[in-house]
Amino acid sequence: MIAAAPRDGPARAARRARAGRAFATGAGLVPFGAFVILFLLLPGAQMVVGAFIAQDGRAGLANFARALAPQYLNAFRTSIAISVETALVGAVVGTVVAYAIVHGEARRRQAFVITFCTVTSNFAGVPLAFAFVTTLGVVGWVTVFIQAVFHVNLYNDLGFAIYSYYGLVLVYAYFQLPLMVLLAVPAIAGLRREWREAAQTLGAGAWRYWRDVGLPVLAPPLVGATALLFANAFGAYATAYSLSSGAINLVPLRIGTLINGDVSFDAGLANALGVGMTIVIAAAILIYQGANRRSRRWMR
Amino acid sequence: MIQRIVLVLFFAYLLLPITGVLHFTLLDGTRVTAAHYLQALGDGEFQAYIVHSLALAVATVAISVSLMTFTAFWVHMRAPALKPLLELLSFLPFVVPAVTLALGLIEIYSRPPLVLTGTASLLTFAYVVLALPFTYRAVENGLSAIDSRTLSEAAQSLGAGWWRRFITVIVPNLWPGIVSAALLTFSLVMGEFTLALFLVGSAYETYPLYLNEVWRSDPKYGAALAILSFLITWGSSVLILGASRRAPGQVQGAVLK
Repeated sequence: MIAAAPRDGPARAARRARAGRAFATGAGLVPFGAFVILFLLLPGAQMVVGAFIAQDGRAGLANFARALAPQYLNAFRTSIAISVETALVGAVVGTVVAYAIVHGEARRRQAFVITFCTVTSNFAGVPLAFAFVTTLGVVGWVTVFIQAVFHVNLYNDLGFAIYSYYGLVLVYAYFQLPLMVLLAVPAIAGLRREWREAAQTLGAGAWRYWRDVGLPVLAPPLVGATALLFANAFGAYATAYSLSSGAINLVPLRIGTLINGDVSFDAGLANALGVGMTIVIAAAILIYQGANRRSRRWMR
Repeated sequence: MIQRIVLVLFFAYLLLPITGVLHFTLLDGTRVTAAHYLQALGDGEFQAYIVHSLALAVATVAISVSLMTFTAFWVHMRAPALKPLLELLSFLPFVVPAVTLALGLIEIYSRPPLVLTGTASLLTFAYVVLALPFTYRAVENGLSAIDSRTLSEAAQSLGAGWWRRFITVIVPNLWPGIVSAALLTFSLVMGEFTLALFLVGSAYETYPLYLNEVWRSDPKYGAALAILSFLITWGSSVLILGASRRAPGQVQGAVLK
């Protein structure tokens, strides 16, 4: 990094200085690099490699063949369905809420709402499951209240159950919604007033403005956000685990059983399912990335 | 008007589940009681496990904040070309499911050369990975907002060395973002269940794991303990808000994208 000896000639000295600088720059990246390799990339690589090693130790596709059994295919179907549904519900409602936050009178309280969303979007798992059970469970106060006032029992008359698939949809929506709000607020705030004014000057009505300007600009970031919501629900474990105790057939719960149980321990199969999850999530991220690239054109 | 109704409904939905827990724990029949909450005072297990969780949270915050602040500044100043890579690596943990991360970590660290499963350190490292997206966003937003290059060059022209610039010029300017990221990470770790279950389990039991156990044996007490989770979450929000007030626009720092 310091000057090279004069007899080396200027070109050689410059090359050496450059190499020295590159080395010094690299040195500063060692702690982060080591961390990411040891605790993120290596485990990922292990999962992929492990998926191709069968129980008898030989390389092959045996784990994947087992992962195609009906109960696992079904788990993928259920996981994808719940993720799509909660992502769509979260996206639509979250966009409306975000619009209300950006354009409503609550603008002064925007910082509060956004902070609140940041924290609630991470609020999932065991306590959230309890909270919903005590609210909408068989003897939850809302269930009891509706029974007393409307003489309708959510469970016996409407077939609802918080431990069921649609119960889980309701609970997932709890962390999907604030996440969508967080992702949609910057996009909606990025719709410039000038665009609307320009459209109006040219004689466009509200409908025309949304069709030709508003939606085309908003669509990419909102689609990207929906893809993230999908990934968010697809990987969720704790909430489903504590709410349904495994009664709902989801891929993360299946993997959990395979790596936690003494009897059912089967790392190879778990790896194969993990690779399957990774493929689904990678597809969601490609959508997110593609949408992101499109939206950068407008969001500056 | 419509906007106000939308917001009220939104908050009602986010607050509704909490009313359930309060109703469940504060009422025994028709009698109001705080007994289920006071139970925690005499519960040695609870106290031990909450200390475990606090220790994990503090360690995670310390490592993730120092690692990310240093690395982001380093890349910003010396290797801007690597920024997209850093961004990608810091985004990954947000979409990698906890259960698959646990799967890979278990397989690697339950056999030599490095046996770490069942230790608090493995869980801490996994939490640092989990916190990367938040910490990176906060630091990166701060770095682009303050024109760190000019600041740093100004300090350099006054004779400040690299470390001195980093500690006395850059870090104080990023402070509100760092505080937001730290609080978010803190609340993340205090509530994390999946990695704790698979990586350490009963070997270093954490508060969320205990919560899950108690809920099955003594639901009223379990629900009372869950309220504490809500309080930690809300306390963090209020503090994040306080931190971000000092630097307008920084609240987005805690936000992912």
